[in-house]
Amino acid sequence: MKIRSLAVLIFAIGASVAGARAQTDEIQVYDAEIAEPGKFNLTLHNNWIAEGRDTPAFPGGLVPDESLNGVPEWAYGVTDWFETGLYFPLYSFSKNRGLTFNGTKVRALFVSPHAAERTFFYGVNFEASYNARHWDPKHFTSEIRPILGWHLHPVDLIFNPILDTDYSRLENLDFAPATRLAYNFSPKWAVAAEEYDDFGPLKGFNSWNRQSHQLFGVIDHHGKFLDVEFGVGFGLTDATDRLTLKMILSRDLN
Amino acid sequence: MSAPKNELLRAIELALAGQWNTAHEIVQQYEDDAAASWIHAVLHKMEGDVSNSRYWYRRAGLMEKADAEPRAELAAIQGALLSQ
Repeated sequence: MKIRSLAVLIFAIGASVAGARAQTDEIQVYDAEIAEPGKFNLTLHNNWIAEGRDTPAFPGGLVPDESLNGVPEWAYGVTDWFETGLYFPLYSFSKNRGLTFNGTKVRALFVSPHAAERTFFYGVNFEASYNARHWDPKHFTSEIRPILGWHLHPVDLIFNPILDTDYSRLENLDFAPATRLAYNFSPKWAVAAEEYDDFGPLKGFNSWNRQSHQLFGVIDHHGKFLDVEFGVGFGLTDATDRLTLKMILSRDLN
Repeated sequence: MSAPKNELLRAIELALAGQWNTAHEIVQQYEDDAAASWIHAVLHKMEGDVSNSRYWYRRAGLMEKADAEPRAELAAIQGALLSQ
């Protein structure tokens, strides 16, 4: 019993040092561009944590180190200002649990129409998740993602001040913004720096070492049949995975 | 709305003559027309607004044309319209 208590204590300390943020299925800054009305779009998200935390973010969770996390995102353009989406199935391949099914998400994305044509564009995304226990301690979570961006040709600056909630208390809303600064070389090619942060709950941010901060170098290619986004991310705090690779493949289906 | 061929040819001539704004006003009227979207993409490429250009190439279904030199591309669209 004492050994078991000690093990729980050690795990709790390890988890608190590592921070509460688990690995994620989607590493992307939303730019308010959506599928054309009547078009289906499929986006495949895959993230490989090449060098990550050795302990799960919570008891029973996945070990981030050397895990693959991803999801197909099925989107449909309803109007020029509204896109709906389904993420199914969320999956991982991890050291401690092998192949797992992590849950599903639905979303409603509202944007300023024809965002690519605007200097300033905006939107908001509402996302509701059902999570397996090994993916998140809470079965039901949600994300509110405002989108603010500027096309300053050839540079794009985009900010998503994301709020995550587990439907507990309002002050438990978690602030996890995502930012993208891109340079468009041509209609086909762009490079970008992206920053993904998790400061912790709004009621009081976590200390620096328990916050998550990850900086990605990204390259985008837009082709006739497929859009490809590839990124290499570096963790800036102890609570962040040190090295993550992301690959996003996207195309319209009709 | 489908774009009249003579309007698109006029937009191309204006663009080649350096009258970008007037050419843009014409193609803006025909957002659902593939040829107008193609010209629209080239116009934004000419002004260096490449993310906007990307949007119109995608709408035209012609992403593979995005690397072409703008004036040569306008001439090619002109040729394609005249041969219809």
